[in-house]
Formats: sequence, structure tokens, C-alpha cells
Amino acid sequence: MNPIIEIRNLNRHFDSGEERFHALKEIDLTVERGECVILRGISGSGKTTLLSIIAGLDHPSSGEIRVEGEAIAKLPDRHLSRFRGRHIGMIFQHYNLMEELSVRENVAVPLIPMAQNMRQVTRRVEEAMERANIAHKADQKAARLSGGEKQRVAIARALATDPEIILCDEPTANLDRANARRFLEILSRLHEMGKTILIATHDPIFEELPFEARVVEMENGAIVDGRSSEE
Amino acid sequence: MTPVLLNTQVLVYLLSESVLWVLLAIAFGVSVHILWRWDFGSTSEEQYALERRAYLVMTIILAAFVLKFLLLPFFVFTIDRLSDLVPGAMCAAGVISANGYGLPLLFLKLLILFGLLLWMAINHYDLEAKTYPWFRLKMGLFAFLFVLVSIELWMDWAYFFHFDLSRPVSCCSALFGQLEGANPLPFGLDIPKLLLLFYLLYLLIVVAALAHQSWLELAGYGLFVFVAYYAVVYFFGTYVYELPTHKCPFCMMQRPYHYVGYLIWGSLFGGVFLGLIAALLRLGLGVDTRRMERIGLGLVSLFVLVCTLYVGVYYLRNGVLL
Ligand SMILES: Nc1ncnc2c1ncn2[C@@H]1O[C@H](COP(=O)(O)OP(=O)(O)OP(=O)(O)O)[C@@H](O)[C@H]1O
Ligand SMILES: [Mg+2]
Repeated sequence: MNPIIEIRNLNRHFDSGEERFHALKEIDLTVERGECVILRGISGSGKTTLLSIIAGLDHPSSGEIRVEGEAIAKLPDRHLSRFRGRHIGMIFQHYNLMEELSVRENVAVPLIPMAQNMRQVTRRVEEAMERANIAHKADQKAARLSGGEKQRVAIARALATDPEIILCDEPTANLDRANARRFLEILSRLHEMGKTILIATHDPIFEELPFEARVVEMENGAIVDGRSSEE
Repeated sequence: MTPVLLNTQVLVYLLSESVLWVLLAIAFGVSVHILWRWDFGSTSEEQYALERRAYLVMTIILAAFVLKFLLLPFFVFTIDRLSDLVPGAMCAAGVISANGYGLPLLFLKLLILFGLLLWMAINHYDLEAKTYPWFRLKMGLFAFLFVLVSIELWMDWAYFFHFDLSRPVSCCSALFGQLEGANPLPFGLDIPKLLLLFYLLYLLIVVAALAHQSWLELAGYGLFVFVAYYAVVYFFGTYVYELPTHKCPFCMMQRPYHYVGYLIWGSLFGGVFLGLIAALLRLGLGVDTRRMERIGLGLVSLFVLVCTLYVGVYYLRNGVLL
């Protein structure tokens, strides 16, 4: 089968006046369906930039990127948001929840533009909350949740659309160790379901992942090393 | 400066058209550059930059076109208002023929309206298709339309600039009324034959649209728009005015007739243009245009309905026809 993510000679630079900053340099990366990839590297090495481009939130300056066979850098904007809604789930360090809405409502947000009817929305929201272990807080306002619970809402929201690809940016940065371990458990369940997972992190806890993951080392916007976590 | 140029509405109109032209001129310059360098297969920095700029330019063009679209009824409204100033004019008919620029300008505006709708439709399908398959066609059409819009702007200014308020113009009854026994209808038609043709062509359009027969739709709409024009001016219009001698395409856009002219002409030209474009794009690009086809047919049906209702209501109220 074709790889789910294919990146060739990808560059991203930012221009400010005369200065040109190369945030990503000649990135080559292939991710197979169902694989788990950990992007590691010091702050500023380009992890978030790379994830944003895979999510279609940012554009490369040059080079090729295909996600689910789609050349997403070339999609007109209207297709891009549709694409993101269908294929990508995102979990970020700052969960970006709507504080005034309940857990249930937060999880339903990404479903609204694509759902056929209310019954389907309700079913998917319940499923996603179950998977992320947050169903017991369904009617609580997001503002009243603990950090770990907020993150699980973010996970449920990312799962609600049942995406093939899950992107996590520093998912454990704001969690205590116990909650971070719970997060790893949820990840293994997603992995078992066959989801493709990309995680940008420098948290050593990911050494404890209970399944095989590929570690991709980034430095100054370039990939310097790719190895499997069990090597 | 002629006093007409000092009229507020005329000024607003001319300035709006001029500002839109400047916007389109910028878009034109950028488009030429983009077309020159465009290579969709490439993933180079330049091509990505072009694609993003192209998206921006298309958005600007679309916005400018939508505004131009709204300026056409405003133009008609403006010249209708000028009939108070122009001696001899009772409605826009006299004003539009105040000098040699008026009528050609009006035709040009209709042609441009068709072009704008065509461009918007191609743009829609092009963006829907992910790979910009009709990018060159669309940008080429835009370049052509820009030339037309430039001529239009020049004629806009010329028309209002050469307005001679001291020279009386003919009013609509002299322009469209009985010309001393001469038959104003083309091909030696009389009113019953004209009406028969009117309804038969409408029937043809309905059948062709329901069966998605593009060539038949093109022929049907193309003939219908002419026949409908004469039918409105020489038959249906007289029921709007409730006066058998009043033959004018413009007076019906005035207040005593509830501005119904905008509905009549708007649904006719809107419907015919959409119907033509739906058929053209199905033939030319092979895209699914059924929705546009339905909207076009709906508008033309609305047009036929409104015209017919005027006659029907008159008959019910008075028990006779005009
Ligand atoms: N919009 C932008 N404009 C200018 N520079 C940017 C922009 N976005 C990112 N950068 C720069 O690109 C580099 C890589 O940023 P990125 O956020 O990808 O790093 P990171 O690996 O995620 O770091 P961290 O671990 O701190 O999150 C940084 O030096 C950053 O300053
Ligand atoms: Mg980051």
C-alpha cells in the first residue's frame, strides 16, 4: 500500500525584511499507514512547523508533500479545510478548548461542518469521549477541568471525526507523570486501532511507549537521524 | 464640466466604476505575470508563491465582479432618475438615447454581465477541481473581460460627459411607438405569431433543460432572449402600463409600476445567461452544471410567469384584453 505521508525535498523559510530564516531544510520523510513517529529535537528545531505543514495549517515554501495521496500544498483553501476535517486530528500543548462550552460541546465542534444529522453527531461524540476516558465529565464546563482532563477533551475532540492521522505537539508538556502515563495508554489504544500517529516532543517519558515507534531526530530544521525505538 | 456630471448619483456611479477598474487593472497586471510563469506540475518555491498569489487575485476579481454586477441595476436606476433633467425624456429610454454612446454602452454592459457570470462559473468549477484545470482559460477570459471593462469605463465617462441638456430628446413613445404603419417586429411577425413563438420557445427550453440537451438549450435560450425582448416591449409591457399604446422597456422600472421592470429584465437576462452558461460549460468543460441549469430555468420560468400574470390579472379584472 502507498505510504500515508510522503514528504520530498520540503523547505519552509520565513522572510523578515532582508533576513531569511530556514525553519525546515530539505526534509524527506515517509510514514507508513499505522506507524507511530516521534519527532525529537531541541526547541526551535522545526517540529511544530513540520506538523503544521502536514496538517495543512501552513504551506511549504518548496518541495512535495502528499498526505493520503493528496498533494495538500497545492489544494485550494476550501479543499484544505475539508481535507483536514476528514483526515487529521490534532492534539496540542495548549488544548485550545472553548472554556465556556461543556466537554460534550467541545468534542462536537469539529463534527458540525461535516455531520449529516444530530443523531450521528451525538453517537460520535459519545464514542470519542469513551475512548479518551472523559465521558464521566461530559456536561462539565471546560473551564472547570484539570489539566489532564482538558487534554483528554482535546484527545476526544481529535478523535471525534475518526481521522486516520493523529498529530500531537508536545502533548505531555503540561501534564504530571501520572496523567502523562495515562496519555501513553490512550496512544497505545489508538495505535492498536491502526491510526497513524506523529508526536513532536522532547519528553523522555516516550521512551516508555508500550509499542514500537520510530524516532526521528531533528536539528536546525533538518532531519539528522531516523531510528526505531527498539533499536 | 457638464451639469450631469455634478449629479450625485452619476458621480457615485462613475467613481465606483473607476475604483473597480483600478482594482481589476492591478489584478490584470498580476495575472499576466502569473500566467507567464505558471507551471502547475512544479513544486518550486516560485510556483507555490504563484499559486498563493493566484488565489488572492481570484478573490479580488470575484469581489470586483460581484460589485460590478450590482452596479448594472444602479446604472439603470441612475439614468432613469436623470429623465427629470433631460428635456423631453420621461424615462430612461430618452436618457439612454441622449447621445450616441448610450445604447452601445447598455449592450456592452449586458455582454460584460454575461462574461462576468461565465467567469464566475468557470472559477467555481476550477477551484472545485483541486488542480486548477481551467486556470489558463479562466485567466484568458479575465484578460478579455478586462479589455471590455476598460472600453466600458471609457464609454461610461464619455456618455455622461457628452450629455447635452439643452438638446431635447425623444421620449419612449416616439422611440418604440407606432412608426407610421411600419411594423417594428422582426421577420414580419405580428403579435399572435410573436406570442406563439414566445411560448413555444419557452416550452422548448423546459424540455431541453429537463432532458439536459445542451445544444437544444443553447438554441432555445439564444432565440428566446430576442423573442422575449420584443414580446415584453410590444405586448406584455402594454399590460404592465395598462395602455395599448405605451410601448417602452424602461418605464416599467419606475415607481408607478412597482419597479417591476427590474424583476422582468433581471429574471429574463439572469435566467437566459445562466442557462446558456450551464449548457456551454457542460459542452466545453464536461462538468456537471445541473444546479445552474435549474436556477436558469427557474428564473426564466419566473419571467414567463410574471409576464403572463400581468395579462391574466388584467383579463380577470376587466373581462377583456387590451
Ligand atoms: N511564523 C513564523 N515566523 C518566523 N519564524 C518562525 C515562524 N514560525 C516558526 N518560526 C521559527 O522557526 C523555527 C522552528 O520553530 P518550531 O516552532 O517549528 O520549533 P519547535 O521544534 O516546535 O520548537 P519547540 O520545541 O520550542 O516547540 C523557530 O526558530 C521559530 O522561531
Ligand atoms: Mg513546537
